Amino acid sequence: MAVAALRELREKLDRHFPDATPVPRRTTDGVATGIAALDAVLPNGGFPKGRLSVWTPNGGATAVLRAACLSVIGRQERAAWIDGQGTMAGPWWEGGPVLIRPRSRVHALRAAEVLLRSGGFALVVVTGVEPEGTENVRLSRAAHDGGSAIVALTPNGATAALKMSSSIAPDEYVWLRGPFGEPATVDSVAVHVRVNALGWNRRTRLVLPVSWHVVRSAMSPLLADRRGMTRPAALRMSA
Amino acid sequence: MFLCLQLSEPASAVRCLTVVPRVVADHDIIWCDVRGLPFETTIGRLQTIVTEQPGSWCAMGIAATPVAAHVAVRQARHRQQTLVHVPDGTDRAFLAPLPIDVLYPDFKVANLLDGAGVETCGDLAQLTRESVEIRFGAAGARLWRLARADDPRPIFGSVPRALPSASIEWTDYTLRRAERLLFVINALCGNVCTTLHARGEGAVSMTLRLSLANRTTFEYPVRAARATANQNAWIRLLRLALERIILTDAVTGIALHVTLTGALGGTQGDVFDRGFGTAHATEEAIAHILDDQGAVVVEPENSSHPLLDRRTTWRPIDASQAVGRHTEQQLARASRRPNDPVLSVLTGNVIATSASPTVPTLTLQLLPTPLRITVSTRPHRDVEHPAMYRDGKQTHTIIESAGPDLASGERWSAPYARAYFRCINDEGTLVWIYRDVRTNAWYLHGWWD
Repeated sequence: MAVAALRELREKLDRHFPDATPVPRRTTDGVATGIAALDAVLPNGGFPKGRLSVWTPNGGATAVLRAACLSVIGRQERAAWIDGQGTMAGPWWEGGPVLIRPRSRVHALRAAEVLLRSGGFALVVVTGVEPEGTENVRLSRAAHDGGSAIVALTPNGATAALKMSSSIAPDEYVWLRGPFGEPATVDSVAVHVRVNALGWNRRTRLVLPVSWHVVRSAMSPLLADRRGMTRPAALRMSA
Repeated sequence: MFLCLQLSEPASAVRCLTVVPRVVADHDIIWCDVRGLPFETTIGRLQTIVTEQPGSWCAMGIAATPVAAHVAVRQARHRQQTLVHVPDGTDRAFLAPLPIDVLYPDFKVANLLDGAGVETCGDLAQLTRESVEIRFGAAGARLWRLARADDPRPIFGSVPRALPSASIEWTDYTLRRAERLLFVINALCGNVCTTLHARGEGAVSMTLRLSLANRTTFEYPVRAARATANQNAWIRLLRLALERIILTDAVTGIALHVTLTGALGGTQGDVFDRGFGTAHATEEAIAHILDDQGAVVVEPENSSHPLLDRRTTWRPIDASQAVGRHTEQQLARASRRPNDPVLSVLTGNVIATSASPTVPTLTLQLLPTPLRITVSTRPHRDVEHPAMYRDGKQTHTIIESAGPDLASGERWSAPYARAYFRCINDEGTLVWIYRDVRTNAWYLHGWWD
């Protein structure tokens, strides 16, 4: 009897407050990330449309979200990336998502709201801003109005429908070593991703390659000294 | 009706503009546009104006076609009459008895016509076009049309439509508060935008003109990122403009003029493009952000500078470019991967719906300004490697480090010499640290994420 009453109550709540339905009930569509291992642990096979998802910064979050944006573009939909802190390095930016570099935190949030309400973007990613409290509520409403999925890199996810975090253990980096055994280049890294929603708790492990660029323009660590600069004392001592 | 004038003083043609709306000077004759004007009154006023000077004269020819009006003015001059009026519908009959020379035929054609016994315009007009074209060529065919009073010359071009504007002035009171001004501007903007909608155009720029109580005017140009007739978009821009304006006195009148318009039409889309349906809304949203925040929608232009932070120039793009890149990028990717099942849709190879998997890669995130840190070092193979650093908030132990990667240059302008280290800290973050060799200071430049 109690089970029947509970089911009836749940149906009534779903009917009267459809937007409050937990994501795992699969009442909303998902925006697939294009990463099979991650999509498998997301409640709807992707980031929920019309809902706010939050991802705790660092731990490979940017890499995964950039891949998700490119996957969205590959499906002929639109994605936008709001780089609130201006940390995106130009050489690694692959065209596709609309890149916005706002001048301040408030501008970043306003831009996110406008893009979400337009309904023209399948996925909007907000980084470097870390929205909190009422800001998250406002972004949730905008996402609901436009039907877009939004992922904000923030540890503040009280009102989010989906919470994600990722971490990298220091010993999970795979180094390519030089001829003397010293570390030369990071080849790949294992990222542990945790996905939480109401009634949903999943984990997965992703192995991501690490991109690198050649900065070496001098073959000797003492080259700078040859150009008229003083040698550090430590180097003089060790030499 | 076309009115053709021949004046003793061609300079007095300027005065005709006080009577008729448009005047065109063509060599020794003047064309006046009298369409829609009362015939007798206009002729009388024109005659009065151009013969004000003692001893001056004028000849007028008026007809429904330019060629007949042109011939009529010469007839008037020849007969020393003031006016030769060709009634409506009689242009061809007027030309028929006149010699073919009144049409100024080409010398060769004139010879051919003379040889064929064609002497008057009527003789030429009664021939068939085919026979004229075969015997006298294209120039003969053109002359044949003129002889039939068929003259398609556009003497007066189309009248450019005035750009929409709205204004209001008041004398009983003055306005000082921005909210009240905005209330009035909103009404004016509504009228302007309604007119723009009716014309199927959007405004690219408008000018807000404020009449002040001290009898001066203040003009402020407002420009949108794209052509739009959206009242909300323009009110947003005008509100921003009002916030920036400092007026010297109270306002007694407001005028809003459109100064530049553009087409509102959208581009043709691809039926397989899922984003096409929302392209307009997307463009509007990006234009909104551009209007609000300036050039914040960007794309990188990378050089080969040794320093990453000096390698990239962020180039602003406009709303249509941002939306257009959506398809351009897909086409570019399709050209790189011709067998891609989704992207080949755009190139017409295969129709499929599943997306190709994307490989996420940890890439460098650069701090806009390198963060000064305190570093403890340990010697390793003749080089001091960072062992621990403090970034102002907390201290991190470095588990492993690789480097140094040396970059130095620009000795004559802004010299730099940096020794970069890639380090894994105790939180598992791969950070990018460098020592400025010139100052021996340590900086955190970025991290991989």
